[in-house]
Amino acid sequence: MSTQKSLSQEQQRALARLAIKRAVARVSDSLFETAQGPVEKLQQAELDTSQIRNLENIAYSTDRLSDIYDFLKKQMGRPGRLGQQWRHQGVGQELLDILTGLRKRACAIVKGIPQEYSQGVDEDTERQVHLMLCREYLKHVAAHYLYTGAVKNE
Amino acid sequence: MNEQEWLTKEMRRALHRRLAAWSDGPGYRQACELADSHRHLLPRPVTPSQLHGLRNVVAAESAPEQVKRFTRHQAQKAERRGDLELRDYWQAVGKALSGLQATAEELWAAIGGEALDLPKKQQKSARDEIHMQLMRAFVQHLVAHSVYLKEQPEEYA
Repeated sequence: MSTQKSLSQEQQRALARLAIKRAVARVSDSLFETAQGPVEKLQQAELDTSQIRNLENIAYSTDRLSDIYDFLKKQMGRPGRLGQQWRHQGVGQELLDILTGLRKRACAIVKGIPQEYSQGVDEDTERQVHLMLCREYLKHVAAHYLYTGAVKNE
Repeated sequence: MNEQEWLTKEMRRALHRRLAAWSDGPGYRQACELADSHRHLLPRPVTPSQLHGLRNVVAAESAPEQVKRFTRHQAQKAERRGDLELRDYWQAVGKALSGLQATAEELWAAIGGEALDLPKKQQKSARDEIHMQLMRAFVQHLVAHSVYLKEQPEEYA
């Protein structure tokens, strides 16, 4: 009897979840460095810390990617100083492009899940992995932002 | 009574996931396309306050018919003022929101709603509730993309 046949659907789901978690952690480490560029621009824009915290909080409290995109778009579209800050050197657009671009990484992660766990993957898995990657990326952005802000103020 | 209380826990979970997937996929794309195709009307005559008015209506109303009435009213007002482009905009918004009824029916069928032993009136209420949730997500994307577009240089269009 092959391994595939001996795995129940529940086992396949659990193993797929584990494979995804590991792959997301690997990609997250590679995202760490890429978060620094936008953070420098966010610092130059002198955005209030609460804005970055709001962005991170939305990412962790929603189950929809579009809630994160909509937040960034609304902030960029605001009149006055806050809107200007989010549009400073195109930083809001850059964040939006990076977040939407993570879909390719999510797709690669899902494709990399071993065939024997196929029942642990469904049509919504790629979207959910994409959301996980967005959360990871924004976690790095928030951490960099708070750290560099604190260092500057020393 | 919340219509979703008629659903089993599994059906509610399935509905929640399908709504999220729709909102991130076709719903997001359709709303952005609608805003993009009327970009020249931003920020006037389609003002931020009109868009926020629409958002408030979909947030407050529980019947899709009320939202349709609002978009119809906005189109009629624009026509009376002779602003035919604005009338066409509100007609397009109304058409897009009405079109979500078909998606609501599909979602209802996909989660097994038709198999529930519910009276017709309650079935309709449940489908209307799903339709309203689709409208809220669509309008959220439409408003966000519209306010974003009005501040973007043309090359981002």
